Amino acid sequence: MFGIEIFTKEYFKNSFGERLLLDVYEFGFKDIKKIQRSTLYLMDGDLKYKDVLVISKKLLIDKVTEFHIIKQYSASKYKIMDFKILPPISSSSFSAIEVWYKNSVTDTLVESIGKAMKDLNIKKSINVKIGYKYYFYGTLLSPRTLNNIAIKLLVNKLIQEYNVIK
Amino acid sequence: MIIKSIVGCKIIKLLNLSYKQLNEFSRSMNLSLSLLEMIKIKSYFKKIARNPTDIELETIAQTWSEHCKHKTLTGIIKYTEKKNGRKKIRVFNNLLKETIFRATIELNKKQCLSVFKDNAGVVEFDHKNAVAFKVETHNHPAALEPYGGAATGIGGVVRDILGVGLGAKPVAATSVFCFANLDIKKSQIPTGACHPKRIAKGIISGVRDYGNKIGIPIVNGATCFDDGYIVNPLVFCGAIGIIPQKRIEKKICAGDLILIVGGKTGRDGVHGATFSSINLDQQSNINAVQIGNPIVEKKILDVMLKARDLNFYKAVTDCGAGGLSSAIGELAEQTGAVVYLDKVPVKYSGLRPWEIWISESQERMVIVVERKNKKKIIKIFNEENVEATFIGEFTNSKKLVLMYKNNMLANMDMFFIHKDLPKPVRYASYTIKNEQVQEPIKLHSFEILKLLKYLLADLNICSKEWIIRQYDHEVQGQTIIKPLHGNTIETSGHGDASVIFPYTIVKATKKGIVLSNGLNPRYGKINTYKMAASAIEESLRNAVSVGADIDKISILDNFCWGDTDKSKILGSLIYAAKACYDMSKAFCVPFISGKDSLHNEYFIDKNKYSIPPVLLISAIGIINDVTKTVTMPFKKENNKIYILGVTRNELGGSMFTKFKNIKNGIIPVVYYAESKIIMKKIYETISKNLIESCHDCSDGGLAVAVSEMSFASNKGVKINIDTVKTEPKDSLTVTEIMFSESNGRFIVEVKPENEFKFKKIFKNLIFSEIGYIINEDVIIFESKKHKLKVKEKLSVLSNFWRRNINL
Repeated sequence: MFGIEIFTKEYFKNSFGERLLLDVYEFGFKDIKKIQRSTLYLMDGDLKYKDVLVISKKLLIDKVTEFHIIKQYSASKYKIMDFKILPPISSSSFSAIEVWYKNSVTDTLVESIGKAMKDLNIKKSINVKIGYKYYFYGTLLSPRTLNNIAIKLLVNKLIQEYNVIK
Repeated sequence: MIIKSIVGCKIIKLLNLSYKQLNEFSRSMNLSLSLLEMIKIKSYFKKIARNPTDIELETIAQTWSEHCKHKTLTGIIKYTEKKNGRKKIRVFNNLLKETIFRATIELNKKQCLSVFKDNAGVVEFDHKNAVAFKVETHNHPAALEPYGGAATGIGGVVRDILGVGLGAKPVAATSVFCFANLDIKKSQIPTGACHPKRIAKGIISGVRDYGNKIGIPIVNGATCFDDGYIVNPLVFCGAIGIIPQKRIEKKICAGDLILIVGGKTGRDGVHGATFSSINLDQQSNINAVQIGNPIVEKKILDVMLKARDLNFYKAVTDCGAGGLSSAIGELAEQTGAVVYLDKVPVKYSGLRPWEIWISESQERMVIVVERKNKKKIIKIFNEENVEATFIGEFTNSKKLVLMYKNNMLANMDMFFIHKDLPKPVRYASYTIKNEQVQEPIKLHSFEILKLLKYLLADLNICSKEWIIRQYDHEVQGQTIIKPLHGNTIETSGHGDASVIFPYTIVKATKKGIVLSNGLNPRYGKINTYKMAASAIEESLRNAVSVGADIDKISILDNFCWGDTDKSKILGSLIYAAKACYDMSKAFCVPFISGKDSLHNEYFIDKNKYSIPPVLLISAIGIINDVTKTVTMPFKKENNKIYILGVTRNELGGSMFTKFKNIKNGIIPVVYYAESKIIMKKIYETISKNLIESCHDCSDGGLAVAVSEMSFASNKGVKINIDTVKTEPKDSLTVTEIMFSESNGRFIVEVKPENEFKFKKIFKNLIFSEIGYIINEDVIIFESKKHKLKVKEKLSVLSNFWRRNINL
């Protein structure tokens, strides 16, 4: 099982993070200095590292503005809410929230990736799951604050699940 | 209650159930069927001497749902209307047929080619082509998941256009929203509800992401704000398409094959049709949420139209609410059909037969194919990588037969499914409130100016540029009049209506399609008749403002109401429907399609949140020459400004009274005879190039209308309030003249050299010259009679108006 995490490069405008920061301030969470969002792809199937590299480079990232980190997991050890990849900004104080669609929700982006992988001549049967990870830099946030941010701004609990990472 | 199960299908022991058990069973299965309906079902199966299967019950529940059968509006209603202690009683056997549809029948206009019978209304464009128009509501899905619910709203209405006749080519879309106040304090939000900003952002993004990706310009819309939508936002999505007139009728014969194309079937959207018949609560079901895929829909759209032009199929419809059950059930109503559910392509294994049958998975169309075209049509879809599978055929049995792995799971008479729905008697009442003119409002200049600034900055009036600019309103290159008008990107203002010039589809045409809307929920809180009448008149005014001919306009209705099981709420809807009939007849403008969304109530911790009544009227007009159109920004200094129509003391429900917290006031009346003749004359003057700009007076009245024209052009203006014609004469204060929201009024700009001809056309009508455009950065409203002068820099007022909705 492989995890791919895709970030916007540091020197490109972090418009999503800036926007979210305003919303977070509006809700009264003033201790956060910066927010960054990454996209998470979890791939399970008969895959080798080089397949994942091809998928990520040719399909998932915009090489000009983004970069990726690939990590391999042991299927037996992996837990869906444990996508622990360090953020690219070296900071001792950050918290994060991972958000995923629930299994019963059809993610059409996943369907499109499946088709695109066939176009890349990857014929293996691969299960893909897509999520987002939000990094909050500044003072370490309490689980309660992170839960509040998740529920009020990031997650629709009807169709999504989330995990806070301290 | 289950007797036995065959291939995932259960036989339900229904025949021995008591009334109480029938009720409980309907509730536990999420069927949303009433006791009366359950009794009817029981007696049908008793007659055929067997118990039903779960898939049969699901089929009936879907077909008889409020969403599919419009049970409230087509049922029997005993209506009592009360005014000043007097009662009038009327019985409606079918409210829709006796009001909205009746007006269309009685008007019998040549332009109506297919109305109230297909997926959209169809009107004549030219002697060979027609235009299909449909506006859908998607409130319940958007309330649960704003982004997904709104995205599938636009996807669904585009499929309606694809599913009209043999398929129309979509050329434009519309979107109208009702949200709660975006500035509401967090403490005022009910526990468990999302902030309106988050809801609005999700909904707008959903429409944007689906609409832009599918390549259809979103050209017209409106956004209304009221705290009544705090939990239940409203989402209206519309689409228009061009269809050759020879392809308007569907033909279905026994032996024809059923082809499903597009997306695979999953569990998403299961119980969507029955779900929209109930009130929402915090436990609402995840299965009702659907996720859309615009790329798949775009591919279906392109291939389907290709297949249509090659005559490869005879009928088509979309899979909307109720999924295959609704689509095939309706197509086979007159014939009968057998469907092999195990042939339906599914997203994953484990789906039960009834889930396959009623799933509302998006981006699917059902096509009726003659056997001789079987291979050809599959080839064309395969070539474009669109999934297409034959899943059954039409028969002459007049029965619906569902098969799964060689087992017959359903066998029911089409007549029972479609015509045997019981019609309960509902009761409705409405008390017409007496309206009183407010005490005369006399304000000083500085107070008027302060108020004008407040009004311009109000969410209901201020610039919606942030929303509009997210949509691609120019894709396809046919949008002649766009939603934003102005000299530069910094000075754009809202247009009254948009115009599509479909020259890529209808070669060598000069004709265009005008799209506009009218929406006045504030009036509905006091008088739903006046709300409906005003919405109709406003939609016509908007269309006429850009150059539409009222004789070639058609309208659509979208009723969004609270819980119509309550007599007073149902009564308010009937009162509005009566206005629809009266206004349609008075303006000779037919209704061609509509869609209602009832039960817009939400429960949180036993607290009920119900929306105010809303009627959206969407208008479509055909114009002969797209070059004979005008926009709303002022054009040139020294040109004269005229007001057409009468200003009355009608401040009831207005933006002004909202700010001043004035409870009294007369809700604007529609004086249709006055209004209609003005609209005809405007068309004449625009056709003769005698008007430079035109804008209707609506929210905020004359003061706001003039200011908006000024902002969009960055040109100053001087208005003499004393010259505005009022009724009764000289009875209104300056404030009342400036902010009255009387219907039937337009502000127009006329070149000095055209004034003579212009006045000649409007001779004997009520109009007056009220000012002129000036070469200064100021807006001036002056009354020498009352010694008042309201003067402010255009740029200052404009900044209030551009308060920047930015989510």
